[in-house]
Amino acid sequence: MTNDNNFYGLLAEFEDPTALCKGAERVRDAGYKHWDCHSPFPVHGLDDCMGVKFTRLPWIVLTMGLIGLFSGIALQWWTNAVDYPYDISGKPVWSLPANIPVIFEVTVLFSAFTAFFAMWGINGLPRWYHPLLRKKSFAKATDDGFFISIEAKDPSFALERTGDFLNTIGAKRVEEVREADEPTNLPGNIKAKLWITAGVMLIPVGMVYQTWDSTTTEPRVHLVKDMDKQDRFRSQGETSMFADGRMSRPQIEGTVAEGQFFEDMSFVTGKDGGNYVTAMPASITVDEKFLAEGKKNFDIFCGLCHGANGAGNSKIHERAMMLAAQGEAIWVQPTDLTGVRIMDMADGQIFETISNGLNTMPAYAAQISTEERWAIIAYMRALQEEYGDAGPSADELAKMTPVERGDLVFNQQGCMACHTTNGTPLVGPTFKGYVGSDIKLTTGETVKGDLAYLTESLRDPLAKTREGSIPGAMVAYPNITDEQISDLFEYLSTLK
Amino acid sequence: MASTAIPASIDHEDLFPASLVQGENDLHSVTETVCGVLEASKPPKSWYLIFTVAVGLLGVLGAMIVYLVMTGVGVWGNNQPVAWGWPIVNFVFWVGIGHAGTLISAVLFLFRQDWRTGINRFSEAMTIFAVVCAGMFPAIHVGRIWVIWWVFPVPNQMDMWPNFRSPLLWDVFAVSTYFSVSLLFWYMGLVPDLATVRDRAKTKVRKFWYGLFALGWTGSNRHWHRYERAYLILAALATPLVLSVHSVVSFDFATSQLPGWHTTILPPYFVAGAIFSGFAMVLTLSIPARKMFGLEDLITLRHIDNMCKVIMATGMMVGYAYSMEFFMAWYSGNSYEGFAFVNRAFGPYWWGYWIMVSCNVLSPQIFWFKKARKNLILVFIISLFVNLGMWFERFVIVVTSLNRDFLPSSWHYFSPTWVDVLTLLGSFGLFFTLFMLFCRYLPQVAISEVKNVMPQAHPHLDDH
Repeated sequence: MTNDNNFYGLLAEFEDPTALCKGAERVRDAGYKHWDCHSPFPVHGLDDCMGVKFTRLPWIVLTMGLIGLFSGIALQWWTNAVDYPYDISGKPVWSLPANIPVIFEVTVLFSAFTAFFAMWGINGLPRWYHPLLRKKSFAKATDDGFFISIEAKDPSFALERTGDFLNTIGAKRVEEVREADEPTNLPGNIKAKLWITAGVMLIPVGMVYQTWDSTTTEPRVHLVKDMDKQDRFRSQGETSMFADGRMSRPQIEGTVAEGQFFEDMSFVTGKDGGNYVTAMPASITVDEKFLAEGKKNFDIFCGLCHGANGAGNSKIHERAMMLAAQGEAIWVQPTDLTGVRIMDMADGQIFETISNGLNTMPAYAAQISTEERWAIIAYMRALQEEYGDAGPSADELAKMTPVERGDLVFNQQGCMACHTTNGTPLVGPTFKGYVGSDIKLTTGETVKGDLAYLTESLRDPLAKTREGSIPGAMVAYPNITDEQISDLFEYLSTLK
Repeated sequence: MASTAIPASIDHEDLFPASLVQGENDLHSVTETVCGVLEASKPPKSWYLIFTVAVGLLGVLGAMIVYLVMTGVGVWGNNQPVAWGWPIVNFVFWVGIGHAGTLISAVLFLFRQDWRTGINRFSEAMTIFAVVCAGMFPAIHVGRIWVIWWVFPVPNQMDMWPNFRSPLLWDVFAVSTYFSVSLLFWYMGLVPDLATVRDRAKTKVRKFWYGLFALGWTGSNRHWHRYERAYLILAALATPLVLSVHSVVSFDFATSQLPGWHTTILPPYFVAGAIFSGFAMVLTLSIPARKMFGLEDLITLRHIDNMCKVIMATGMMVGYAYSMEFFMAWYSGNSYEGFAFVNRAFGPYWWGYWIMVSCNVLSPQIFWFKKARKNLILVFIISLFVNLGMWFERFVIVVTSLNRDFLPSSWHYFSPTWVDVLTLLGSFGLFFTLFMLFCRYLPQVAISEVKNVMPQAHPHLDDH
């Protein structure tokens, strides 16, 4: 041992790998603990000569490799089967064979990183300074020199005795190695610079974290704006490409789009060559089962408003009328499906109404299949047979006065759902004092409440809308005859 | 312990076929030869020439990527039905080249093929740079490159995870693992050599930087012991890894249901092709480099001879795969599969198919002759043919299978755009820039490993 604190130890150079191995055996046998051999390449056989214990590195790698294996399994299982289950073509969310490649890669990654970093870690590297590296002659250790170094801190170390010992075991040259006198820290202000660099590098990381961890109502910043602003046509949008300025294009005349073609067009449209069909399509057989099907859907979709027997007096209607009386609702009584108007209506028109809706009644084509819609009509006809009132016969009508017939039309066509005769406005204007009055239109014009205007309102209600009315609230009555309109006008004329 | 001088008239290699280092070399002269390259005040003129061209092409690549990112992937020729155009062809091409390095370092190490020491550093560097080029293509192919992190399982505010059952995701893990492990392997091999350079360094800058990356290596035998063990473990890990990477790349194709892709032969066929193209690229690089930097004694004719044999063997493997694909297309009786392959050889891209066959199957057959394997110019030309042929192999696989898919109305003849072409050229710029920098600033040959296989390295102990 030596008292010199700066004394590191002795360095001995040997001629070749053979001399090094033989020397190492002697040092090992002399009982030294803190010593080492240095060579430009791993000299095979030297481990035995030095008595180096086999490294525990493989066990560390095995452990971490297994951790990697199970991490790979856990990662995929948790992300894809638990936290965010992916349904891909109905396959099971957790199917091991598909996960093996990633498990394998993660295992290799963990093992390789461990082999690399643990090796340096156990070797005590990296270190930026080593007293041996201060020796000029030691540069040969990475070229063609073979060395044995014995550290002064070894209990068996004694400067002269150890030096002599190294000479006797075949060293070419023995040198003393001292620690540096000056501090062995990194030179200059490199440390400070590294800290500052590390700090600056954390700023973007912090910003990313801050953005990640907070919410904002601002749209996200896009470097390339093509996601926000795209050159494409939006439906209902404008374009200068077509003369009419509309992006949505009408169907080209004479073409049939996919899903539009049927053998029997009346089955899906209710129309035959532009006219409503008056009978069930040929493909339908009305029997008990068909009617039962119709009843089922009628009760589900129709009865709620129109009433279970179709008379337009459902509970919803009663409740709405109560609210309307208190001024809390605007309500139009659902049509009496067993009334003359619907009894006289062509099957095709009823079909179209169910399919596409009318006024406040929604379209049901998306919810009720085509055949089921026809079944509802069949059931409705059955209801009409049971509860319907065809009203007076032609002979009886001929005997009645025009005012009586007009009163009948008023009730049969359901005018009273929107129009009163007593001066109270409902959804539509009251008919008290209607005839001969001045009616202000949405266009600003004023028309007289005469037969011509009444006819136009029934045939084409959208042509002239009264100010204060909702355009389209009034339905067209294509089935009503001119005689009936005339009778109705006579009746209305009596309401003063 | 210099080897005895031999008359120039006698072929050294014929006398000592076992010696891996040629000429009169001892341990020190090996150090001198390798370090001399990076210690020379100026590199050879040809280095400047290649480096300038490479940096120019790298600039082109940068411009193409900026143009792509700002505009969208529509600047490429990719379109339905060939949505996977050149970017994927280039990806598979580069990642294939990136296979030779680890194969040479790891697989040949496990098989105790000592001749690998002369070329392993070189080919590992090539591997890493090729994988850099390869990884770039899928990354820019996603279009919105700023969300490329979605391919990694990063916890995020959207609670969104990648789909681990997709072969494209396997690719992400396979290629990134391969890159990481190759880099570790390469750097670990470099550390003792960086220490050599550090110990010879004259200037402060060199002392600092080489010293920093040499990690304080002292050549301690206790360190060497763990180092060698770690190296063996890494080799054992890298061996299945290198086989897995191109298998996973082939899964991108094989797990799809497209005729021409949906075959089980794809993984081994891709791996053989990768080794084939990788060795060709090692030859393409090492034949000029050994001349340029005076490394003829370390990268010897024997190395080149061995690599020629590997190329011939793997070339016949891919040839077998090509014919087996045709056989299976016929034998399966599947008319779509049959059509895909007839279309491959005689369809609109017949020229691509026959370039592939002549470059990959026919041209390496010349290596049956020892004379051909010794003719460096011929070997260099064949290696270029193989590189070309392997690029066309990927082109044929990707494009011919896609351009005529199930619905004849959507058939489409794929043509690349100028952006496709310049991006591919630019990727060569990236590759050669990195490679030229490596040649100039890092030891091109694994000094410590070469010393280890020299006769001087073995101790002659009584009990041995």
